[in-house]
Amino acid sequence: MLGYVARRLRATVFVLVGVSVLVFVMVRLIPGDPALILAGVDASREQAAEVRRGLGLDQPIWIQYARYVGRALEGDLGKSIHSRRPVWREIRDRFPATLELTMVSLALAGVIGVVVGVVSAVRRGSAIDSIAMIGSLAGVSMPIFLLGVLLIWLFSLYLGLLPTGGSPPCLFCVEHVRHLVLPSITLAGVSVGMVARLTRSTMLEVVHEEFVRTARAKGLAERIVIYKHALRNAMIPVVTYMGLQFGVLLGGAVVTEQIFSWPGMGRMLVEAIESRDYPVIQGAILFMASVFVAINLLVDLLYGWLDPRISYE
Amino acid sequence: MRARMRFLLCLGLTAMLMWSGAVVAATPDDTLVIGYNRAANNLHPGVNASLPNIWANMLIYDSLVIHDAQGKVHPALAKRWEVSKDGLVWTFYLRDDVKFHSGRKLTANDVKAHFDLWKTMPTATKIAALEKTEAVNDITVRFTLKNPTLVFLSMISQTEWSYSGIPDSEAVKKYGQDYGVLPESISGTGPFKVTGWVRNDRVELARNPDYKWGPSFYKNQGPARVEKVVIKTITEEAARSAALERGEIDMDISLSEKDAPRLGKTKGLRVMVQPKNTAHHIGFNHDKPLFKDQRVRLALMYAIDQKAIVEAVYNGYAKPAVGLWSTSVEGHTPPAEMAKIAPSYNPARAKQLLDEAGWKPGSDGIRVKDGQRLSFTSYGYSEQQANLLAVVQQQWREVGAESQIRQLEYAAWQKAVTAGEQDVSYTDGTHSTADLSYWWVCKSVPYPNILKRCDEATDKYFEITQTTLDPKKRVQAFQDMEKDFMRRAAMIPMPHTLWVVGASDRVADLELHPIHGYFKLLDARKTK
Amino acid sequence: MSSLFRGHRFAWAGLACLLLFVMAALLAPWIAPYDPLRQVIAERLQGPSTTHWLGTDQFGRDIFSRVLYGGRISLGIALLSVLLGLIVGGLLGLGAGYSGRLDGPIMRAMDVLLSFPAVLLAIMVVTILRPGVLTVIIAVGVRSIPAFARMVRGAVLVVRSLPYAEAAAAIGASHLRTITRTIVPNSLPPVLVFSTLQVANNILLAAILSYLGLGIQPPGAEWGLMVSQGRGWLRDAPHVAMMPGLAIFAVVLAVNMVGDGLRDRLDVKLKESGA
Repeated sequence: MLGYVARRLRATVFVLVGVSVLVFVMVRLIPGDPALILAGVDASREQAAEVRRGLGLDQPIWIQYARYVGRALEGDLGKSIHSRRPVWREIRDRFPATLELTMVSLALAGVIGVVVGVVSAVRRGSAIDSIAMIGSLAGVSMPIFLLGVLLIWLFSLYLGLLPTGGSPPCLFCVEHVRHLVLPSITLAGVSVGMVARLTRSTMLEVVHEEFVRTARAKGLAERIVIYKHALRNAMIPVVTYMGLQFGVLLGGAVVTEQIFSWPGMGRMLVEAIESRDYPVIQGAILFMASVFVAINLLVDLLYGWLDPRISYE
Repeated sequence: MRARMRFLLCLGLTAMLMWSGAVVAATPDDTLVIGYNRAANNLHPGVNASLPNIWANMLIYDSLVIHDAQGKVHPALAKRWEVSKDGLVWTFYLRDDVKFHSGRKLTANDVKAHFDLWKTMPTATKIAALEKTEAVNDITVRFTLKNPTLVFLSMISQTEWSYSGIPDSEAVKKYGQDYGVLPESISGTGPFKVTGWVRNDRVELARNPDYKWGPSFYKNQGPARVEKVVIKTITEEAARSAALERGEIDMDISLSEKDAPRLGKTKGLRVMVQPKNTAHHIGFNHDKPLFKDQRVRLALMYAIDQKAIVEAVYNGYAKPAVGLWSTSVEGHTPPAEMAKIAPSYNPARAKQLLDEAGWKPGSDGIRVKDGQRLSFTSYGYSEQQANLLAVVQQQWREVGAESQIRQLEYAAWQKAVTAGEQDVSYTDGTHSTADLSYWWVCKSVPYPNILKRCDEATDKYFEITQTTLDPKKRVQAFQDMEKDFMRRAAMIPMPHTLWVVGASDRVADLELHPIHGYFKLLDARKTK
Repeated sequence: MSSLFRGHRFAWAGLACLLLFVMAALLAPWIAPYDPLRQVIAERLQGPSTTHWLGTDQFGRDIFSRVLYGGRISLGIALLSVLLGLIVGGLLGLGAGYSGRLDGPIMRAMDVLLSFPAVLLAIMVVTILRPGVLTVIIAVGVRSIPAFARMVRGAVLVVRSLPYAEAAAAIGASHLRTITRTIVPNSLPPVLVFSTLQVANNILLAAILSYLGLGIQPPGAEWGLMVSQGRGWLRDAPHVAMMPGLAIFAVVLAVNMVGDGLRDRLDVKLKESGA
């Protein structure tokens, strides 16, 4: 087991290095000149060159990279070109909102998906099963921005129940929950269908397995059999899937944050790309990729711990 | 049984949760909540400003002088001013009762400090004529110019993008690069001060109770009538309009033209429309051989149906352009006069001109000459511009010209047009006066002169406007330049966009300004 | 057994729906009543009628024609992007599976690619290249490369350990033969299922790019762009956004059903699914 952990950690480090190089190169490949944008329409060529020098953009690319990595390891991700604030501070200000949105959406998708999946598996073959399966497919089949706007239309305007968007004014209050409802439902829509179907199919498989029949032979009530044994074993692939979905949701958060004006990193990143704010783009993508890699690592370790039958190359 | 009970309980709780907020959907009585589609990023005047920054700065700072909605300059922080006979020395006498939000008194040193700092920034092109600034005493500032010009007074008015707003020099010194970025650093003399700033989400302002030096064209020169102002960023159009309808915001200063007709008829809301000082146009790249022939340029001008663009792209919320400048810009040619000179919608004439120029219709309707098709690229940098170019594309097709639309994001567009890639490009232009013409002098090639057009007559006219001390001569020169542009089809003017603001009826005494929207909010107040 | 039967029914319905859309897209130049770019400003924002079956948009363009032509672009992008991922990923997987030396680096590179959320990767690619159909295909297709690589590599490893393969190598059968005869059939089930699901995902990802202004540019008719541009009109003219929206919905739903049916049929467990 220890060897496995060590191997995964080493692979993770390698991946992080690879990600940083890839991000760095990609950001540099983007056409457009941040110095020109920062200097503005009125700037002369000399002024723009001055700005460029100040940003360190006139150095050869490997020197820029080395400098960047050196500072990053100390926790300094540079300063935003436009707001002049340290990048890590921008990330620190905005990531919790994205994390909250992603986590709540994931939890929502998980809970609703599992419930629907279990009901479908239990009532296999019935009308409920068909409706649930089609319904879960439907959630995944609509463009996320259309779903978001429709939800605003329905719940904010016509029913007047929920706010149209924006961030909640306080941390632990009812208003907070109310602002979170629509964005998280929209984002959860991306995953909930797959979770439901995965739950359903793995439960159906497990129900056929030996040890469940053994439990049934002991005379336990059928309900307990289903809920306890089948569900627990069906959770392994579902949890794995949800761990992978984190990355998908992180990406989907970009659109959701735009629509609901949720002050998270997704919006920050899109604006940074538009204004060629290199340090912010690099820092934000590197950060998000690192979080994703970390979560993957956790899921891998969890998987290895949960199911020792699995062998790895 | 228990599971079902628990489920119903959850459902009940959820419903209660949603209802509890449903009733309270109005903004507080003492706060004016303004919605906009972009966020402020730096509140130091002088830093390259985008509109959200400018609006906030209008509330937080004051300048020496300020324009009213009719374009007349009024005293603000300066009580009066004098110009020397040779036009080189401008002396401003400040009020002595002005305090910053930090409590410090405003002195001439603050003004000097700001102008000195401003001169080092890229935005200093506005005060290019300024040689040096001196603080003669606590209430007197003296500017010495490199050359005499009337432009200087306009450029240091607060309506010029608010660059000239005076911040507390002590605060600027203390915070350095962080001034304007950290909310606690910001200190101006304006009717509102910053109390909170959640980046990309909202700027929170509170009334400055000591304020009594408002411009005279406001009914109220003293403390503002609203206690608090919140500028909220809501990027999604549909969400913003919904927020206005629901009463989550009191004003939307970037109201979607799609929703404007409906919201104007909605009870409790009104839509205000104000002309904008624009000079939007489609510019030819005069380096390209295709456009060396004036007949081709004229033909493409004649092919444009402005009304169709106004309908389709702006849902009616724009004004067809006759000349380049909108009628609220100082220096524009009166429309009646311009209409006789500038080409207007006449596809028959366009076809005639192209025939004369040797372009014969090909088999697919696109004209051909010497084996070359009348096909060119048209560049833009926003979705709305791409939509406009799509309408224009159809109109050009009618007369046998084919355009290919290239929509890039702003940074990539800037790079491309500087390099002269485009054949034609849409360009937005908003400015208080026609001094924006500096875009088209020889010195401005390749950027911002993306027309790549170096013309003696243009330079001559511009020189006059910048150096004459006779206002009439200045206006005349601008008009001559504009007429010349239209006559020789230097660029094709595009409809003038408008300020479209949606406001709740609870907001009273709201006035709009032709460049910056809502201005200083001294009269505005909220009713029950 | 009954679940399989049901799966069949839905899968066949999905397939029929898909074929309908593909045929409509292919025949667009002949069955579309109007030029998708043709604007008649006087007729803008009209609801469905006898002259315009699905109504007109804000420029007076016929929505039915645009949906038909848009199908060519949207479906084309979806299919080509999956093909791109399949070919590039497949080649990489082959390389990784065959060569011990390349295995490590290639799979690490795949891990690096997998660390990027799909939307971010797509945004970066589009920002680097100019917006256009080819760029969108690449941006959308890149994210499925690691998954395909893994599947093909897995199949290669399995096949190479079979006694059949050793025997074939002993009698000098060429690699190409091995590939076509054993690896392809071996990797086909997961690849096929994953491909169908990716087609669905890619349509939605392309739509997100259009929403962010990074996809197909106006005045092109692409479903995602039509929905994005039309969403501002939902209150007054909902058909402008809902018609292409329904098209996306129908196609993605159909593709998902077909994928489901394929998975049931081929009895494949998708441990690798997700990203």
